[in-house]
Amino acid sequence: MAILKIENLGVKYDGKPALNNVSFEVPENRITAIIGPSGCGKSTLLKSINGTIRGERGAEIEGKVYLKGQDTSLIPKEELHRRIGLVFQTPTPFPFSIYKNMVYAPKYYGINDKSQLDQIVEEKLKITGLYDEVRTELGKSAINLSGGQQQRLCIARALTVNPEILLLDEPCSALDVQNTAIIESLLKELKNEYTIVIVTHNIPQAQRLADQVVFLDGGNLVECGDADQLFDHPKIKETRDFLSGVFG
Amino acid sequence: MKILSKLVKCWAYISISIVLISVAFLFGYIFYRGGSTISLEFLTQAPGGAVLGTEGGIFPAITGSLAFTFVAVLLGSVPAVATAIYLVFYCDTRKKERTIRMVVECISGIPSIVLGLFAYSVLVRSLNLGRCVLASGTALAIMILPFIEVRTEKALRELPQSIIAASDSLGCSKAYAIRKIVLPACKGEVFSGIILGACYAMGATAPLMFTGGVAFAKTPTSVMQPAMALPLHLYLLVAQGTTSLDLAYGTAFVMMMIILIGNTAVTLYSRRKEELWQSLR
Ligand SMILES: Nc1ncnc2c1ncn2[C@@H]1O[C@H](COP(=O)(O)OP(=O)(O)OP(=O)(O)O)[C@@H](O)[C@H]1O
Ligand SMILES: [Mg+2]
Repeated sequence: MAILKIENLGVKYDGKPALNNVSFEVPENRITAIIGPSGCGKSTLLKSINGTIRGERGAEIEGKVYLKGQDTSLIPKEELHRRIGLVFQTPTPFPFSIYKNMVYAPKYYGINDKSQLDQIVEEKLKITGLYDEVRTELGKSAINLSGGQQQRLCIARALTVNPEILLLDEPCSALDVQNTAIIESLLKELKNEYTIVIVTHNIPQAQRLADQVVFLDGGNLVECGDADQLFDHPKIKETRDFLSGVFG
Repeated sequence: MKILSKLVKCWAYISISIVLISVAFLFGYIFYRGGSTISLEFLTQAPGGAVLGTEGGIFPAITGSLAFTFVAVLLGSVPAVATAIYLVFYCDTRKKERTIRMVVECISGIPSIVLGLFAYSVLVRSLNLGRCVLASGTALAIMILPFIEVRTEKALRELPQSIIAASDSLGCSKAYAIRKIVLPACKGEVFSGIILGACYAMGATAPLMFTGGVAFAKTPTSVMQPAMALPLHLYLLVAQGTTSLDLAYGTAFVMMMIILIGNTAVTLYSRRKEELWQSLR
C-alpha cells in the first residue's frame, strides 16, 4: 500500500535543524500534499525523499526513507533519482529544442532508436496536453515557450524516465490561473499511473488535489491525515490555526 | 556637497576623455604610419636586405606567429577548460577549490620573461629540444592558461544551477549534463576566452626570445623548428636602430589587425549570446 515510508527523518544544515523526526507514509497512486509556512522544511523534505540532499554541502541526515521497502540510502544515487522524479518551482527547460529536452534522459538510458524516441516524445507530451500545442514546432527552442508550457514540458520530461513517484515543489507558484488549472487536472490524471507528492503554498489547491495532507511547521510534522479529515476537522490546534490563518 | 559631486563628475569626464583621446591617437597613428607600409609584397615576402628587414616583407613572421599561437592554444586551453570544469562541477571541498585557485593565480602572476627562462632551461636545454615552436608554445600556453581558465569558469558559473539540478533529478550523470547541456550552452564563451587568450599569446615577446623565436627563419613546417614572430620582429627592427620605423609600424599594424579581428569577432559573438541568456532568465 505505502510506496514510500519516511521514518524518523531529521536533517540539519551546518548543525542547524531543518527537519526533526518526521515520520509518515505515502500511499501508492495517490496525491500527497505537503503544506506549511515558508521555511518549515518542505523543500528539504522533498530533497530528502529523492536523495539530492545527500550531495549538498553541510547537510546532515538522520533516519530512513524506504521506497517499496528498500532503504533509499542503499540505492545508487542515479537510480534513485530516476525512480523518484522531481519538478521544480521555476521551470527548468534545457537551452535547446523541445524535442531534445524530451529525449535527453531516454538517450542517456541507451534508447537511440529514432522511432522509439519519437514515440516517447509524443506519448509524454500528450499526457501533459502539450502535444497539440507544439506538434509542429518540436524543433523550436524550449526557452521560447510560455511559463506554463515550460512547466508542463518539465513534467513531461520527468515522465520520460518512467519514475515511480513524482515530486513537485510548488510547481504552479510561477503560473497564472489558467495554467495552474491545466496542471491540476493533469496531476489528477497522472495519479492513476504515478504516485504524486506536491508541495504547495496554495491551500485551496491542496484541497482540490490532495488525498492525503502533511502539515509541517518549524521542521516538525504537526499533522498528517486524509485530506477531507484534515481540512474539515483538524485534530491539532496548530493545524487549525494555520488553516484559519490562511483563510481568515 | 553639490560642488563636490560636480567636481567628481568633471574629473570622471576629463579622465574618460583623456583615455579615449589617447586610444584614438594610438590606433590612428599606428594605422596611419603602418597602413602606408602595407603592400602585397610586404605581406607575402620574406624579409631581406643587407640589414635584415630593410627590404622584403614579413610573411614568415605572420606564419610563425600563427604557429606559436596555435601551439600555445592547443597546449593551454585543454587544461584550462578542464580546470574550470573541475572547479565548477566536481570540486567538493572549499579547501581544494582555494588551493587550485591559488595555483592558477600564482601562474598568472609569473612574469612572462620568467616563463621564457623556464622553457629555455627545461625544454631547450635539459630536454635538448633546441629552440623550437614547441618550447615557445609551451611557455605561451602556461601564460594564457589562467586567462582562459578564469573566463571559462565565469561562463560555466553563469549557467543556472537549476538546470544542472534538473538533469540530476532525471538520474543522468554529471558528465552527461556537462557534455550535453553545459558545453553546448557555453561553447561560445569558452571559445571567446580561447580566442582572447590567443590574441594575448600573439602579442607576447618575452616567452619567445630565447626559446624558439629567431631573427630569420622560413615558415615553420614542424613544431621542432624555430620561427619568426611578429612582436619579436618588431623588437629587432627597432633595436637595430638603423632601419626606418615605418617597417616596424607596418609590422605593428599587421599584428594589431589580427588581434583586432579576433577581439571584434568575440565581442559580436558574446553580444548575441547575452541576449540568449536574458531570454532564459
Ligand atoms: N542548502 C541549505 N543550506 C543551509 N540552510 C538551508 C539550506 N536549504 C534550506 N535551508 C534552511 O532550512 C530551512 C528549511 O528550508 P526549506 O527550503 O526546506 O523550506 P521550505 O519549506 O521549502 O520554504 P519555502 O516555502 O520558502 O520554499 C530554512 O530555514 C532554510 O533557511
Ligand atoms: Mg521550498
